[in-house]
Amino acid sequence: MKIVFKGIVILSLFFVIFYGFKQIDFVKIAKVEGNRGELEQKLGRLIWDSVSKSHIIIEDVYINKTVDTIVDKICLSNKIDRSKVKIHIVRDNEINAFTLPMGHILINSGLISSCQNVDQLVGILSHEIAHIELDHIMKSIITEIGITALVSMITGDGVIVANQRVIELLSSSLLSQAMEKDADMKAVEYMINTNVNPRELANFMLILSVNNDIGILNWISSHPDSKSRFDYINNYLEGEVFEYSSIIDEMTWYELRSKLFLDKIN
Amino acid sequence: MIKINKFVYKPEYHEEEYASNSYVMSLVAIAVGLPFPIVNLLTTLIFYLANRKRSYFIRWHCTQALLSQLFLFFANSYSFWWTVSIIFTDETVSNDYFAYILTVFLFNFIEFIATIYTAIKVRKGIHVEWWFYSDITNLIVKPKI
Repeated sequence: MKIVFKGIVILSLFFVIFYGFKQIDFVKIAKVEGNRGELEQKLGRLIWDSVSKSHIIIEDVYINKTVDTIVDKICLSNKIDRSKVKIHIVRDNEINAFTLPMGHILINSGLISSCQNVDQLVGILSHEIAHIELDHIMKSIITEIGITALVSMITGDGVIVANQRVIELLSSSLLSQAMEKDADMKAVEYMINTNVNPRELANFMLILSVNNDIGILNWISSHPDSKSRFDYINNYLEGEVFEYSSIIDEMTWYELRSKLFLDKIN
Repeated sequence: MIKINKFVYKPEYHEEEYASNSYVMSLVAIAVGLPFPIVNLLTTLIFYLANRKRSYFIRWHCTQALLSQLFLFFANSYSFWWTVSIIFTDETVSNDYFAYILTVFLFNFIEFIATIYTAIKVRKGIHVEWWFYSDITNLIVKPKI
């Protein structure tokens, strides 16, 4: 009995000290967030400089305004700081979209063209915004490349090489499948809050899984199997009945697609 | 937390040396043991197994040294895997993490000092009993009749 009591005393002492230390804001003292934020800003600028030189960004006002309208609505409906999200439409037939540090989202024109309706595009945008909100990008870069390499990349000579490595990773397989699933589920939540049919995100996955013989589906190659994504989103939504409306009208959607088509042939 | 008691008999010179070495073993391993907690326990366990058939004084102190490593083994293992998850998964450093690491470090430090003190005393034939651990040791280790 005496031994049990003494054991409990030692354990209690451990937890009391732990609780005491917990009251101190070590994260603030160590400036972990500050350093990380600064690192993200520098990295974001470097990568964006590099990406904007290596990719053709579509400057068409109509296309950009239309996509911005969709993003505005998603952010407003989900109380997301709109200034954190920067959308860029890239002239590229590859079905791909990826997020860079500092909230830069790159959507390939090929991906928008492959969407059957605007709700599917809302789903893709919601998925990428979810990566920003869940802080997946910096976490993954730090895990993959290491904080030391990142710091030396920003301050040292390896800038160009390292940048290229980060861009390759970001556009292909940097994020874990668990993160992709989290982003899918968050996207479903965003779509519901935006009054957009979340089943369209699942439908887009199904289209991709059926048409995966295209051979240019970079977006799905880095993500969980499209069919399983279709399944888990549908399972999550099973039996749910919501009222939906479209963010933009049919005419605007077709105009957007035709503008992208014209941009492609020009 | 630590008290000096009279042992049931006056240990021989070689017994003092072996008993003291059981603490030194855990001290030597502590540098490696902090990042790899299993090493601490393993070295003390191997030393314990090698000496479990020796005299009462040696067995008693080997057991106390081993038991004292057990609690730290669990505490250090948890901090080890927590750190691994921060490095390799999407887990991030938090106030909880810092608080836990500091608490574990404090307990390791206290044990480190206590171990040095006990090793020196035991080497001189003085019987040192640790709070809580000595009670369990007394339950486990009995003099051979």
